[in-house]
This record gives sequence, C-alpha cells and structure tokens, in this order.
Amino acid sequence: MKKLLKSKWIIIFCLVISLVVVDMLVYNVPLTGRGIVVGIGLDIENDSVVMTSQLLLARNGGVGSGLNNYATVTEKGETMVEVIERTSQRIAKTVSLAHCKLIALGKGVIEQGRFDLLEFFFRGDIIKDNTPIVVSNTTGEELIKAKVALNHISTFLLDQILLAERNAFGVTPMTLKHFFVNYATVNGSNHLPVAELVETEPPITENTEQKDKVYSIIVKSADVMSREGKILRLTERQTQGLSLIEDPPKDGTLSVDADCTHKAELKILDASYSNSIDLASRTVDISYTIKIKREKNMHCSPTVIPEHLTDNEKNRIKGDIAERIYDCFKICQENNLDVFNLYRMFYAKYGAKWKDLAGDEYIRDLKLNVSVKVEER
Amino acid sequence: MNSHKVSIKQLAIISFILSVSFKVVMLPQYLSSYTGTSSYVTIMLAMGIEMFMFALIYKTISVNTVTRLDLPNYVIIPVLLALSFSQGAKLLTLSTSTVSYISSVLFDQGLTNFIVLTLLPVIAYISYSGGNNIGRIANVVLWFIIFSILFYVFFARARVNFYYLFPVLPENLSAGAYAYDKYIMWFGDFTPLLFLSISEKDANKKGTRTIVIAMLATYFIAVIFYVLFVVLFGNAGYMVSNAFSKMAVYNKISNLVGSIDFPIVCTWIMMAIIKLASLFYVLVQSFTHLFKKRGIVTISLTVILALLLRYAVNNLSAAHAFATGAVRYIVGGIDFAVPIALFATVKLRARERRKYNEKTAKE
Repeated sequence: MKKLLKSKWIIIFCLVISLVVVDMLVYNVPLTGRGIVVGIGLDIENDSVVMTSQLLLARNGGVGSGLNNYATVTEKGETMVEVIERTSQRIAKTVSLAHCKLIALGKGVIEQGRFDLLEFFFRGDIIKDNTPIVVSNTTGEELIKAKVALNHISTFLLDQILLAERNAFGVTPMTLKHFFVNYATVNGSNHLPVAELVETEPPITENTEQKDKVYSIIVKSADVMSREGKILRLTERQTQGLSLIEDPPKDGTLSVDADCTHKAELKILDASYSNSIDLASRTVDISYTIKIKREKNMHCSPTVIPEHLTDNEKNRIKGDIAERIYDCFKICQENNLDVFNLYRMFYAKYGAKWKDLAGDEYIRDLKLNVSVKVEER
Repeated sequence: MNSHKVSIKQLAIISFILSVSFKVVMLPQYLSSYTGTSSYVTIMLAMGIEMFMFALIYKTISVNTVTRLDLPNYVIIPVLLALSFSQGAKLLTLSTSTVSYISSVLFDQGLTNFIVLTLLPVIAYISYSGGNNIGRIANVVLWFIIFSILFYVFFARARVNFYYLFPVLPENLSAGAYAYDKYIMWFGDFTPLLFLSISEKDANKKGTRTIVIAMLATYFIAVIFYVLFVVLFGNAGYMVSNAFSKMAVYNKISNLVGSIDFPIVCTWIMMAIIKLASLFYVLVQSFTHLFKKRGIVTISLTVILALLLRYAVNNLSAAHAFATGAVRYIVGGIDFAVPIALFATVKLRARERRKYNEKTAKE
C-alpha cells in the first residue's frame, strides 16, 4: 500500500481519473449545440419580462465557412431565469451569454425602475460585467431586431458605434458594472446612451431588391435616470457636458467660431480636470484642461493659415466647454439628479459632517463653477 | 516524500498563497456588505494581525514542526486535535466555496458532485505526499501568479473613482470589527504553517530577510487588491461575488476572450488547491501522529470530507451559515490562541534549557 502510494503511477492514475471525471462533469455541449447570444433586448410588458436574444448559430466549419447564421428570438416570462430557459427550449440549444456584446433596454424598463433585470446579470457570472448597456428610444426588441444597413446586425453595429464613442467627445458608454456603481450611490442617479433607430435608404445591391425597412442607428444623446425610474433626456450638448466629466475625451473634434473664417474644427488630444469643494458655500469648482490641435482646414484665406488660436478663439472654446458642463449639471440639479456624484466628493472630504448636513435634495443647494484652460499643441 | 521541511522561498510562497487566495474571492463581498467602501481599511488592520501571527508561527517553526516540538503528549495531543478541528472546519467551508466558484465560473451546468470527486483526490494526494511537496508545487505556481499579475497590469482598463477611498477613517469603526468577527474563518490563515519546518540550510539571517520581504509583499498585495476593489465597485461591492474573476475582466482584450479571464481563473484554482491541500495536510499530519498509518488516515479523511461536502455543507449558503455560525468562535479562538501558546511554550522551553545549560556549565 505504502509503496503504491509513493509510486508515480498513483499520480498518473489520479490525473487520468481527474480528466475522465472532469469530462463527465461538464455538461458537454458542442459549439454547434450552443446558442451564442451576441446581444439582448429587455422590455417589460404587463409586469412580465420580454427578452429578445440575437443569437449566433454556429455551424460546422465555423466563421471561415461563412455558414454561421444569426437568429432573433423573443421570449416572455416572469423572471430572467424563466425567459432564458424558454429561449433555450425554443431554439433547442443551450443559451450562452458569455460573449454578449450589448444589452438594449426598452424605455419601459427604466420608467418602471426594473433594474432588478440587470442586477440578475451583475450578481451572476453568466455575462461579463463590462458589457455595454444602451436604452432604446422605442423598445429593446425593436432595436435588436432592426435590420440595419451595411449588412451588419444591429448588435455589432451598436458595439462598433460604442467602441468609437469610448474615447471620443460625445456619449459616454455605460457598462453593466459602472451602471451598478452609480446605482449604489446615495443619490442613485445613472445615465445611459440612447440608441435611436432612424429609417434610411436601403443599401444598393447588385441583384436584390430591398423591400424591408432598413435603419441606421444614431447614438448622440443620453438619458439620465433616478433609481426609481424617473427619466430625463439630455440634449446633445448636455450629453457632451456629461461626457466631459464622466469620461474626459481623448479623441474627437470640437468646433469653434474662428476669428477669420466660419466654423473651424479642432482635434481633441486629451482632457482632464481637478476639483475643489467648499462645504460652507456648498460650491464645487472644476478646473478643466483640454488639449487640442488645429485641423488643417482652419485657414483665413487660401494662403494664410494662422499659427495659433487667438485669445478670442480660446475664450470661445472655454465658454463653450464650461457651458456644456454647466448645462448638464443645471438640468440634472433641477431634477434632483446628482449625475456627477458630487455627494461622494463632499463625503470624501468632510465625512460624517457632510452626511449630517446633506438632506435628500442636497444637490439643489450645490453651486458649480467651471474654469477651463485650453492648451494648444 | 513525506517531509515537513520546506525551503525559505517555498515557505514564503506558501504563506502568500495561504493568506491571499481566499481573501480575494468571496470575502470582499462579505466585508463590503458590512463596511461598505471601508473594506480596505478592515483588511489593512486585519492583515496587520495576520502578520503578527505569522511572526509567532515563523519563530515557532524555526525550532521545529509542531508534531516534533519538545512537548509532552498530554500537551501535544489536545493541540493537534484542536488544530485539526479548526483547520477541518475551514477546509469544509473553503472547499464548498471552491466547488461553487468552479461550477459557477467555469461551467454552464457544473455538477458539483463531480467537481468534488475531481478535486478531493488531488488535494488528498498532495497532502499525503508531504509538506515539502506542497512547497514544490507552490514554487511552480509562483510563475503563474506572476504571469497573471503582469497580465492584469499590462492589459487593465477600467473606470475607477478614488473618492471611494476617503475618508480613510471609517465613520462606523464597529462595523469593521463586527465584519472581522463574523468572517474570522477567512483569517488566521498561517496556522497550517505550524506543520512545516524550515530546512537547516535556510535557517539564517538571509532567510529571515527573504521572509520579511515576502510578508510585506503579501500585506501590500492583499491591501492593494481591496483598494482596487473599492475604487472599481464603490458602494456596489456588496453585489460582487467572486471578486477575483470579476475584476479580471476589466482588460483590453475582454471582447475577445468573453466573460472569463482564464489566466486569472486558472491561477486562482491552483492557489486554492494549495490552500486546501495545506489545510488537509494539517489533518493528515495530526491524525498520522495519533494513528500512525498515513495512507489509511488520508483515505479516511478524504472519504469523510467527501461525505460532508455531499450531505452536510453542500452549497454556498450552507457554507456561509456554517462559517458565520457559533463554530467560528471556536475556530477563531484556536487559530489565534494555539500559535500564541505554542510560541510562548517554545520560548519558555528555550529559556529553561539555556538556564539549565548555564547551570551545568558553572557546575
């Protein structure tokens, strides 16, 4: 016995047994037996959950064979578990959400404050926490099912749009994780990019006549919401103001009224800010720095290209940036939404003292000053 | 085979794994539910206590492993039984956590019984083969740990908010103390080291320097992990199960690899196996000391553990209820009292021997 236990064969035996058992323990579903979900839409209909799944149905031969299909399936149920199970039954495949690239929420989900649907994903391990979330201007189902131009499926197109927006001066993408970080703040304000479906011309193809409606997807504004589901749609400029603070841009363009020409385009290279707060006056001072580069189209005449921005131009940029941030703050403040999480800034500095002083509507008493520094490269 | 002697480097790596492996999975969520964003402060203080306990244990095993300390049987047997109970309780809790982690993170429909069947022989065999083999395995795993950390550092991309770290002094200090008490099973991690000893060639000043550096690294890695957890998840930490694997997905290539970061998950499983094997090793060493037949002891303990995991503590809720119930006071008491008592006894014995030697020299 002792000799056997000391032998290397026991290790080999253990390994073989382990590998055999491991193989048994996995409910071994081949790739072709899985319904790989690339995007989901969530809606609420009479208190029931409606989940629309965009599925990649892998076929033997894989991507190279060009045989993969996409299918869209909508199922209704009382809970998330139920709709996922029903989807599995409907497609006769195991639903796998590990590669889900997008969650599209219908407006109703937010209006009814049904964030428990997202919490199911955040608390579990079936979907990655950095999956982007958008809110549809109609329903999640319509957004996911929409036939979009350029031969894309809507999920992939939206994924690419949000990827491009990540560093750009525009809409701040929201992930599942960041949504719940905001959700768990004292004020609980959150924001989500709005994906709008706009009917467009069908693509010109050689041999087919396009009869279905074809859409393009536009993401240029954000919805701000309370934990209870109160929604506020920001304008494009307010959305950019939110983006300037939430995720200072590293890319994108900014236009300015030039002194010697019409609108001129400036390329954003980097942006950052620091802030200081004062409890007595309940003031937040934001010092914003933006680094920009002139695009070559900024010229005064065909031959004269100014070397630097004039002071006037810089001031216009400063005013423009400050105004966007302030506009966003103002509209959110009016709706008791602390979208910049200013509560935490005060709490970090003043601790319990701030907690005692801040009431439920603390945001209404706060003042915001924004100063901007423009650095030209 | 069957040796309890480890090199100083192996001891350092085992200590790191023992201390960190299970503090980075469920514990962040548990602590956050009581302490909120101050969980990192709780860990800073708790790790201070851990380091103190390590120092005592290190001094004790510098003399010899617990089963070979110059102590009478009426002292050593209760000590071994007490340690077996405390480490057995931890083994049960942490094995359930490991099984739950593997079944939920790696498999769509992981059948826990089969995971237990796969895991237990590995743990039992490592423990059976001795402390030096645990050291050797830890030596190999070190490279996976380094690779995973570098992988995370190079590819990390996440939005963080450092405001969540302040104010440093928590508003409610008692919440931290309460959380520490409630989750004491996740502390006192160095106790299994009592069953190892340091090989003679390493018991020198250089060895002590190595171990001090390793312990500082352990302390800071644990604290930095919690700081990252807080700046990433803020007040939402209480919703984050499996923190280690959840944090790993914030990298630049997550779109390619899906919801699991395999380097991190695989590394953690290796660390978990070493930790569980170390706890099991305590049982094997103790009962072998009492009943002599190491093979039979190992097999019997494996069967008992398998049955307990199957019928008694067979899911995460049961493990949580067990670990946070009254048994935690006994486990915590043993984990802290026994190393202190052993250290004091060893010191006292050494002083008595020195006095005796001096007296004999004079005579």
